[in-house]
Amino acid sequence: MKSDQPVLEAHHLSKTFSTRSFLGRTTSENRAVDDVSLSLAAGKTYALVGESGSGKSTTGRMLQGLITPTSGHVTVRAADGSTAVQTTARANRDVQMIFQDPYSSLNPRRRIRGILEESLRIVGEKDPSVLRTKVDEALNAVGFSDEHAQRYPHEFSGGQRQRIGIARALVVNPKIIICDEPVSALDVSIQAQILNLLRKLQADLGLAYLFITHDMSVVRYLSHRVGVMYHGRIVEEANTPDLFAAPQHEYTKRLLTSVPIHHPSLRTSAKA
Amino acid sequence: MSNNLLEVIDLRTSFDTERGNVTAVDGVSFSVAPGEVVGVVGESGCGKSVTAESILQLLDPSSTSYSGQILFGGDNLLRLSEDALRKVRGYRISMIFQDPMSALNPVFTIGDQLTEAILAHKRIGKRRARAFAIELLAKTGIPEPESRMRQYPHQLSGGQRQRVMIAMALSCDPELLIADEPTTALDVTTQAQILKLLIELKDEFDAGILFITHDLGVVAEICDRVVVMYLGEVVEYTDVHTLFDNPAHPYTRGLMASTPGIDADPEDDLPIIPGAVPTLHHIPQGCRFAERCALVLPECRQQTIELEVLSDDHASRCIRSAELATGASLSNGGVR
Repeated sequence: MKSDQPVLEAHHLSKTFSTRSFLGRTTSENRAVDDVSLSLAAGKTYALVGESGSGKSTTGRMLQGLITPTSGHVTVRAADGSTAVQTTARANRDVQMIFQDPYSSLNPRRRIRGILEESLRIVGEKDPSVLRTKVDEALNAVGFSDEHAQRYPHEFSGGQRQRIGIARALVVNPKIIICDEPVSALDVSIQAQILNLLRKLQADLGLAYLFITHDMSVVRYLSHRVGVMYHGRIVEEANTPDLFAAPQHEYTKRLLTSVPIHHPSLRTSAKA
Repeated sequence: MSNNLLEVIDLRTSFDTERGNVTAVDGVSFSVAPGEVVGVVGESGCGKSVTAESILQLLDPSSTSYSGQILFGGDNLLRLSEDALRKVRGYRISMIFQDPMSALNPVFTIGDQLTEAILAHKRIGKRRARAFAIELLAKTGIPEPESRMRQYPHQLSGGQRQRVMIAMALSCDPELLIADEPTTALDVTTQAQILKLLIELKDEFDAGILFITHDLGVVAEICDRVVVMYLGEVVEYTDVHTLFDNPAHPYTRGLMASTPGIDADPEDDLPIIPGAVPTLHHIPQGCRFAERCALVLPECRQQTIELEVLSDDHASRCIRSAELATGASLSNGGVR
């Protein structure tokens, strides 16, 4: 596989949600995502930023195959260089997802080993010894041992649960991970642990990340390219340093001036 | 008595739990002057919210006990009767919360709820209360306040709901506003607007604000003084400039370092605070932060660490505070 070829491409994705009345008539239509195209490269992070309701999570879910686009399609490049075109919701082991809330995204009634094995079974893995080795490898990659595999989610703190969420994504050897606000619910000290882990995994495994976030300091630190979403569209896309140095779109400018200052001496009374 | 609006002295709040009694707030003291914004900072589980809720005694009375003093307007709030306390809550001290959706009643309109709050506190007629509600909404910058009055909470965005909560909190001209993570659930652009609004309103009403947050960026934006909490204790307090220029506690320094700033080099790992906040059932001996501290010395675990006063308005609960406050870069020679 050539390294400069994108591992995932989204072509003109749109998603319209319609609200229906009691009798099934469409009463209103909401265009959540409107003609979004983007591409992800191996070993790189693409950050998708924007306010709540701008369509970033819906875009992430279409890329992962959780929801079917109203129009447009996604192509995922397989290891042998062939591309799979995806137009409907469908599980793809190459594309995995990490969710924002590590409390509600793990089944509370299953042990960690069971949660990770389920991911493997979904993609067709049945051999018990393979299941065991793969789960051990994934837990090891996020800093857990065999002893942790026997415990239940409630026995872990928020940061630890997010590691389990990462292990669950890693266990099927994906090439692309969609990270939907993976650190927003965590304290800063724990957030730093998770960000460091994600960067290490990217360097070790050559993963492509789509990083959905509203935290511009995380964007600057972690991403190579940024897409800014506003009302369902990508209104600006640039390499990360360029976006911060010279934002073009009005909304991007507003977003950047809204980021809290990092020292009280930078306060201005005229700050909008 | 000093001219402080609120003075919390040696506050202790403990809960009865299934696994025994735990002390969530352990000997916390601080004060808020009129017109001042005091930030309470720390990770989840450090006792910030319990401190805020203890001031108005909002926690379940059957399992919570308080000790110490909370002096407000010449009274110790912890000694007041339930009736007297009700005349403080919402009248003289108001509170806004992180999640405005769960603090608003979904089956009543914004107008009903705001008017009800005003009628509960002011001796005015319904019509005047309604006019006053519209005026308050306008003051918080909500567009078309009259039509908002007829809407239900689910029809508003998160930022607008928080503005409604602020309007409600201001309806009785409180002397003190307690804001518990009021912008954490909001987008950054909305957060910036709400912070700006709080500052404007504070200046207009000359109220004090106690601002609970985990976000040091927010602290840098609006706080005058800061109290840093760790596992139920105050570990450092000072004015906001000293906090950012010369943090004297390793925990404060760790929080600052692990926030990716503009100078963070994307080639380097972020500095971390290893581990997580222990639970209240497992409070370590000696310094409570020692387990996670990069500068720990053997003596840190052998004694109870007291707050060490470094200057007029700066204290830190660390035996190495004096060295740290000079800005020196220290190590512990590899001790763990």
